[in-house]
Amino acid sequence: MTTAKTMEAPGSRAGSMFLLVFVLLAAGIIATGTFYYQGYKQQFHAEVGRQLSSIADLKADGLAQWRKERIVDCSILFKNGAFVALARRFFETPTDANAQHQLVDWMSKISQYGQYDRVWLLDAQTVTRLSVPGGQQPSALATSQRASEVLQSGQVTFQDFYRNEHDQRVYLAVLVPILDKRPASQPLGVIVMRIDPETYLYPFIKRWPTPSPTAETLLVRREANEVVFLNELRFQTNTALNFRAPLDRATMPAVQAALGRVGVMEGIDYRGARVVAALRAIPDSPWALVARMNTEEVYAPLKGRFWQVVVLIVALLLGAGACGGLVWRHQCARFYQERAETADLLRGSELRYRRLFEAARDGILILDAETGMIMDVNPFMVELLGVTREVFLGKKVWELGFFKDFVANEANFTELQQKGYVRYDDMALEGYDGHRHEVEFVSNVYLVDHCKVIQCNIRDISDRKRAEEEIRKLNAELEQRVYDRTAQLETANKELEAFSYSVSHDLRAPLRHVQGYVDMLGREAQGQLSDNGRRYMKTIADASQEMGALIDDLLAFSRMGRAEMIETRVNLDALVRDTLRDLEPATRERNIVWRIQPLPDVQADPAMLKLALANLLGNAVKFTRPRDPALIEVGVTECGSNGVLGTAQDAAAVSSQNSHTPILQHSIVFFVRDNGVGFDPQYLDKLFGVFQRLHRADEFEGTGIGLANVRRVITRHGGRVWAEGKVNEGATFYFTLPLPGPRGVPARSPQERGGVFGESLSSGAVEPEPVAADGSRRTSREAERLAPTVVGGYGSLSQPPPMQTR
Amino acid sequence: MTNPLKRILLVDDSPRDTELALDALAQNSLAKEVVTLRDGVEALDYLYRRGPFADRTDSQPAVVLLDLKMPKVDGIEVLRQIKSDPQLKMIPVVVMTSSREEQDLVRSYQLGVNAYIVKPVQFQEFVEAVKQVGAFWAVVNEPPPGSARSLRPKLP
Repeated sequence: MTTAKTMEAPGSRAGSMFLLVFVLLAAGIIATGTFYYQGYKQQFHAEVGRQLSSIADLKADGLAQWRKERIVDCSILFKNGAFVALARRFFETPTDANAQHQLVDWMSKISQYGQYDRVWLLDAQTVTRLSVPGGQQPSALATSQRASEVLQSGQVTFQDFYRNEHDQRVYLAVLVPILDKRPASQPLGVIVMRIDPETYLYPFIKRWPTPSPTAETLLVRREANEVVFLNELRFQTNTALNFRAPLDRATMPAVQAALGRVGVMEGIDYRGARVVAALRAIPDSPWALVARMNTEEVYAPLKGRFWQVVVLIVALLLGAGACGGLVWRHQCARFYQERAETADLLRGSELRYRRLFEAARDGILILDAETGMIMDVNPFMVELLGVTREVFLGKKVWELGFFKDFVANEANFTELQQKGYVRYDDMALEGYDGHRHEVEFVSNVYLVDHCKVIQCNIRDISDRKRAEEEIRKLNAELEQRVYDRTAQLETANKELEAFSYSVSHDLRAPLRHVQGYVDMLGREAQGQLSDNGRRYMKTIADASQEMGALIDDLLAFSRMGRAEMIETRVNLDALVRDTLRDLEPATRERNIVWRIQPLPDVQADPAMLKLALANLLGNAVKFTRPRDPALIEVGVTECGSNGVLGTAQDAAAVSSQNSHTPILQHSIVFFVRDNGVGFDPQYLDKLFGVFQRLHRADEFEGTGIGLANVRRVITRHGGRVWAEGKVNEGATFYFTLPLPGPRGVPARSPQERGGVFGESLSSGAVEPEPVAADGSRRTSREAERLAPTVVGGYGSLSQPPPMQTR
Repeated sequence: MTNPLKRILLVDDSPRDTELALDALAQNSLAKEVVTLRDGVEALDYLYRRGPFADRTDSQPAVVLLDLKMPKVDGIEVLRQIKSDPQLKMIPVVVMTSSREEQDLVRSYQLGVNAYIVKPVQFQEFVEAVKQVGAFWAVVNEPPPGSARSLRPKLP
């Protein structure tokens, strides 16, 4: 169902990624190395330049200084009056030994002092007159020519490097004209001071501050289109004034120097070797200085550094490569491990869903969403329809007969494709064996591997349907039974009604007749009857009268069971007062002490409650007749609220009033106590029964209905009633009533509310009572209706209409 | 009480009750103008002057004393017909019955009864009640026009 997507192998994308990272890293390393090396090289070059420059500066300064000193030397003799006079004396008198001696002394001092290797005194004809040191060492031809020029110009002249044709050596010379201080005087002769460069100049030039195999300083000067090397070179002999190079060899540092360039340059020297050179011009001279060193030597440390950097880069690259490789290997290992784990998980998942598919107790079809072709079907579906799997596979769903009803055509299928979800709650599916299955058919569309698939779930709901049908049937039966039972009840009700009517009408009529005819007989046979006869007549009249009272009481009792209760908040104090007023005929001649506590308001039907009170109080009045004074108490008792009062009396008290009295905590216990004749507790269970009497009729009159009525009233209010007493020790009657409260009327069962048919002699149908607006105004009529025995007498002839009040 | 007696129609299926009622009326000298009938059919025949009473020429009674529980046509039906007939509905009808059932009271008043009396069981009370009814309707009350006083009908 789920296809495992192959994970990308580490060689392709991730691999090239890795390579790219490595290449970038390597490029970075190389660039950094190169950059570092180039920076170092530049720095090194600058450093080399600085070194060469400082050496060149040093040499140049030294040379300039040296030349200045030579000029200073000349100034000692130039226009020196004493020397001029001495020279003049010598020239005029060549034999003047003193003068000669003095001149030689001068010249020796100059020679010594100025490190001149020879000093000549030439006369105006440039003939050598004196030479120091001794010995006839003729001056060079060039010197003689220069002396002539000096004689002409009268200026101190510096004769640059020249070769002495006599000894083939290179010299320099300073020529000082012997001139007195007079203006426009002609020089007497010339002092020539020859300098041997080998003494100081060449060693100075040649000297290098650090030991170096290739370092060298050269002094050159330009002569026409050539550069002339003025000193002996380190790597070539006999070069002074002999070695020349043409000025067009621009790469030669000597050439550049001769051309007047100053600074540092790289070029090719006289040997053809690559060199770095610092060029300087010596001020006030034709000389140029080249301080140079072979490039190879200069950059030898650079080379070392280059290889260092290279080695470092290679080492870094190798390290990076190795790290990358390790990580790569690790990644690969993890990848394959994960792939293996994923594959395992996928296999597990696939297996689970496959089991789900196969074990499902719903039919499942997998369709191609585009064509409706069945791709898969689960075993339950196959089993449900009793066919083979091959019947389904490769068919379009509407080609199968089973689904004719609901995926009947492509229109439905299109709807499914569009909505993505279709549900049929109640469909019939006919199997191969003709068996019909009620099914629920739910299809939805979803994507699997970029492919739209329809999954149809088919649930067999035949059992459910059967159960539903059964329930429906049972419900219908139940309804019928309820209907039948209701009809029976209605019939029974009607019969009861008829019975009640009969009692009311047909039983009373004969009684009335008996009485009427006894009365008429009495008038008719007046005087003819014996005493016994009259007594019999009276007995007949009394008996029929009693029977009438019984019938009336019974009817009232029955009616009260059926009457609708109209509960309101009742002022019990007022109700007791009303009741006592009604009892006035019975109490008029009596000595009764009444102890009536203040009573709380209760929730009750006032007319019914008054009936109960009238019975209880009437009983108290009646059964205290032998007492003088009689004591009657009415009140509320503390200990009653838990309902534990009374033990033996419970049989009577609870009798029909079952144990579920949820109103106790909201109810209150009242009592009516008297000091009358009391009763025998062993007859307690008969006390509240209909027609049950504990006294003989000739002791106390009564029909035996009163306390039954009390119990019925209190019970219908959700209360309890019970009594305690002993013979000749008075009796106490307790009853509970609900207090008016937030809960209002306590819940009671319909039987309690509507009356209890099965309870003894109730009769007549349940009829809604008219509701009086005001309980007290209704009271008298209700009392009449409910308890004719208590409220005796008929003040009026006509019965008013029910809605009417008097 | 100088007014002449008005005619009373007493409808009761019980001859004893009728006798007792007549006795009670006689005790008060009210029985001379009483027509007694035994059931609802007779009552309606009488009032509509048909059947045995087709040739009745006297006026309608001043009051009808009607028992409810009667064979053939009961009192309620008689009451209904009287009160639904424009000719008869002005005749006062007093129901006198043993029934104290509320449904009877309600039906009767719904149909427009003029008074409803429960026959007391005790004879003396019964006598008292009949006396008062007779005195009131046959003497004190002014009947509607058309129920002129007349002689006692010839009765067997």
